Amino acid sequence: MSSNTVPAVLHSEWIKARSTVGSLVTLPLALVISHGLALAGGLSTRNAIDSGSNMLASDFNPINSGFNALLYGNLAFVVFAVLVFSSEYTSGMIRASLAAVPTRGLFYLAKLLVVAAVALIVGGTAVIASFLITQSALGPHGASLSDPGAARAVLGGVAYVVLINVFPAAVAALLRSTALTLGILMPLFFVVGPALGTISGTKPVAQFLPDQAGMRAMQVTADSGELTAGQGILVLLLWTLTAAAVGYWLIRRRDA
Amino acid sequence: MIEATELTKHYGAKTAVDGLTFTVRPGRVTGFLGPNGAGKSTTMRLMLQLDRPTSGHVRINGKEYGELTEPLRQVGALLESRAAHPGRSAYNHLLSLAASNRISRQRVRQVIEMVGLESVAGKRVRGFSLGMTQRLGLAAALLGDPPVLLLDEPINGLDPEGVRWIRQLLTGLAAEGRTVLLSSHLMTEMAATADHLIIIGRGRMLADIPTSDFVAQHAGSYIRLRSPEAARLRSALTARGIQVTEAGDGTLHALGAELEQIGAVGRDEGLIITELTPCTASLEDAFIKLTADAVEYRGGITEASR
Repeated sequence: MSSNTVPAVLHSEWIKARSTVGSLVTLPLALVISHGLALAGGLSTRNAIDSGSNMLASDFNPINSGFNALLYGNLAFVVFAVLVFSSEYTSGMIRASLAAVPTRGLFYLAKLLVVAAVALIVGGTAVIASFLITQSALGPHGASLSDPGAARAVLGGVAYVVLINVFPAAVAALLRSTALTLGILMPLFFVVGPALGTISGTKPVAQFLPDQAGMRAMQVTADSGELTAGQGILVLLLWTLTAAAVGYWLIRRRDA
Repeated sequence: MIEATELTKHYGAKTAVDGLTFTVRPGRVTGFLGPNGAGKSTTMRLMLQLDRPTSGHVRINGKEYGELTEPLRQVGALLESRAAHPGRSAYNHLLSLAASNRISRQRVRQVIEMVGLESVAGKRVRGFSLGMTQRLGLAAALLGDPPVLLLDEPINGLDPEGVRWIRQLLTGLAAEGRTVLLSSHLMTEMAATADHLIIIGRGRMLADIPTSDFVAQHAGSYIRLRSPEAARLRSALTARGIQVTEAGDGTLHALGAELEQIGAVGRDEGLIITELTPCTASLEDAFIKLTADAVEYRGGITEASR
């Protein structure tokens, strides 16, 4: 028994998502960053290979390198996903929203679903386009989608980009603050995770962090002791479901 | 119709609403009065189930808010003035709320026109003045053409013309048979707008009374008198059964008498009367006295129970 119909609430949340300056800025920015870096990364890597540079990592794999740019484009996506929830609280809009949709679980899930849909469409496009741009910039060293593991890695990338947006959205709903959420997640995703993931001593543990685990989904190779692509995406899914479940439980109980 | 029964809300150790029981009836404007911090806003949030009551309940047309289907069609609420995303346009703000309750775009444009925001509908809310934000909140409340309206301090930030406009609008909506509850901390404003008053202080009920009764009880009219022979005038009036009190400023206040009557007494007794002014006691004073008494009363209880 709910107060509003599901399509009506989804429609409402879609209008909200498309009508703020935040989304009009962050989403195109995410595309520009990831596509730009994909091109730059591909070109410079090709240059390094052609000139026989010893700066090139010994385990160079064209498929893997097709997703390097995504990490940075993701920064803007995550801001969008966080704002979807946190702006409701910082602006006071949450009271108008819950007065219009008092079935809070419905409101919450509709919002997460809209974040997931936007991430799937915009983020998915970014993943595929970045991959193709990098490969064509690599020229003769590039891989094609028909290479073994390539299509699976791209699909893994799409799954990653969807979950890595839904997870911060759910965390933002828990914390109800833009600054706090970004203050925790940004360093985690872009500093702590990558740093711990590089140090061999902390790597076995760090690979279970949401972003580190999710990024395994785009790798075609896994060393022993490393999460496989499937396991990686499963770990990120678990993080996301946990955050979403806690958020769902809390929004139904808390005073708005 | 809104029915609150033993409604109570604690925030930690603080009691914001303390066992309120009242009924807000359709067809009239009910003023919800109390000084700042009396619990008016909390009570209205409880009505919308934005906050959960600690105990007791409140029903709107027989149902709890969460049980209503497409609630904007049944209850329109103006809560705090800032309840819109600053980066969104007024039109999109209203459109997003309307969509969740399957209210048409046409109705969105209609309410924008009703509140006079046509020229800024496409502008971001960030740049809105307090008065414009209030009009936007009112537009949101009117979206579903609801039979019940809850408005928290709707005249805040409106200019005198806006205040008159909203007063006429609310009176008109009540005349159509709707339930209209509006809160305010301004007694005189309520006396001019509301047909019925619910007055609370420190979360407790102080008065649930028709406005006309409250005015009659607390704002009895009197006549202010000044005379060089005040003492003789006083005894002459008292002898004729007119109640006279001495005001601190050297004037006399005569209660329950007509101007002509007092003029005639002056002529009969050969007394000079230099001032003869009909006055109305301030409702604001009566309101402050009522709410201040409640605070003292509560203090006494606390003392006794120790």
